[in-house]
Amino acid sequence: MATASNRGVIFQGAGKVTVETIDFPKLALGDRRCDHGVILKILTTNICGSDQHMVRGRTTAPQGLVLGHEITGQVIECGRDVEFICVGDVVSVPFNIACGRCRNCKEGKTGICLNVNPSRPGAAYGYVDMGGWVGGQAEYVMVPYADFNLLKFPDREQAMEKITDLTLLSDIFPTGFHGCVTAGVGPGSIVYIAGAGPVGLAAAASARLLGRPASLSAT
Amino acid sequence: MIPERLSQAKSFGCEVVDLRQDATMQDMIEQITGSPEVDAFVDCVGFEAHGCGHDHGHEQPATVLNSAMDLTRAGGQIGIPGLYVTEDPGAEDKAAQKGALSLRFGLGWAKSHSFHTGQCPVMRYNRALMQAILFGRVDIAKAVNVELITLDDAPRGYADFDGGAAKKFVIDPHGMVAA
Repeated sequence: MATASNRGVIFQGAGKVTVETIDFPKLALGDRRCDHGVILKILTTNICGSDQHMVRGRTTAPQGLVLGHEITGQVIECGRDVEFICVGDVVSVPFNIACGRCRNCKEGKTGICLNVNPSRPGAAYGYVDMGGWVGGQAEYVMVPYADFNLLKFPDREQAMEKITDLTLLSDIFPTGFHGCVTAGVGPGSIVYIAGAGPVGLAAAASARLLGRPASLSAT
Repeated sequence: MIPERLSQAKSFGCEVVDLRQDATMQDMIEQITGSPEVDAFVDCVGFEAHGCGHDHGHEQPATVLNSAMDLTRAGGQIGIPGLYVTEDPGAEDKAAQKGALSLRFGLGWAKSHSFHTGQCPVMRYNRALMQAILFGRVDIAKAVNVELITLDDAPRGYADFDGGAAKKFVIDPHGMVAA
């Protein structure tokens, strides 16, 4: 396909982000081809509270990092080895990058994949210490191991109608839900949710789905 | 402590606890539920936590986890999706700069609490939650108060969110959603 331009949100040091022209993504990992990856045209990409930790200068995030790990998009190019995801699919991208091949991925522990970050288990797009992957607060992004990572929405038109809900599947809705599941929330539980930011609110909505009589929320 | 965020939680049926008050958390919870303890506790704050009551302006990275052990019933579970780090150059004390927190861990041990840490493995849940959305079982965008913005507006989104806006900012980089 013709090379298109790309723009993204860049961390410029404590307290500052700007929107700049960035490289159009390639199906490559350094010098190596990445035939299990796809290129997405991004439909929605969310700002996360964990991005704020970086922008507040509370991490060792390098200046110039392209931010963004909450990505929903449309597939515009597939690598040669992508078998089941097709050009045109509308997909949610889990923020955890996972290879689908390692011991942890095989156990469903995709947040601590062993093959996607040389410095520690677990990786994410556009995040400090999370493997150096290019972030997705941008127009286009590359997603590796696409058949394993991507969740395809069943119908494009239906997906576009509910896109402001579906965009929350890349991180905060599952994250809030996971918090409730691991806290043992079930029918009749009284649940205390510390924090009423977006993840706290998503956890509170999740507690309702899991069947609580009272959620307490506090900032 | 952000009143707008508590109002947002109230808007879909949560009871709320305002930690700016100088009352104990146990007392505030007992007033709502009749018991000073809860069955389940979810930490959605993480390491940039602040103290309670008169101390609410002061950063205390261990305060939510210590509250979790105080408030959760013996045998209860504590879910910790809130982020904790191994390096925090901006922390107020030296130990916290390495992610070492002052936890009253003996209390959690005495109450046989279990603690669940780490990134959420998103694909364990995303298909089921997609179905809950598509079949109208949950209005998650409304619960977190989504506001669509353009890519060029991202710096404003960061600034407003940092200022405590009770919103979830969603960038629409090609204007395909707003259209």
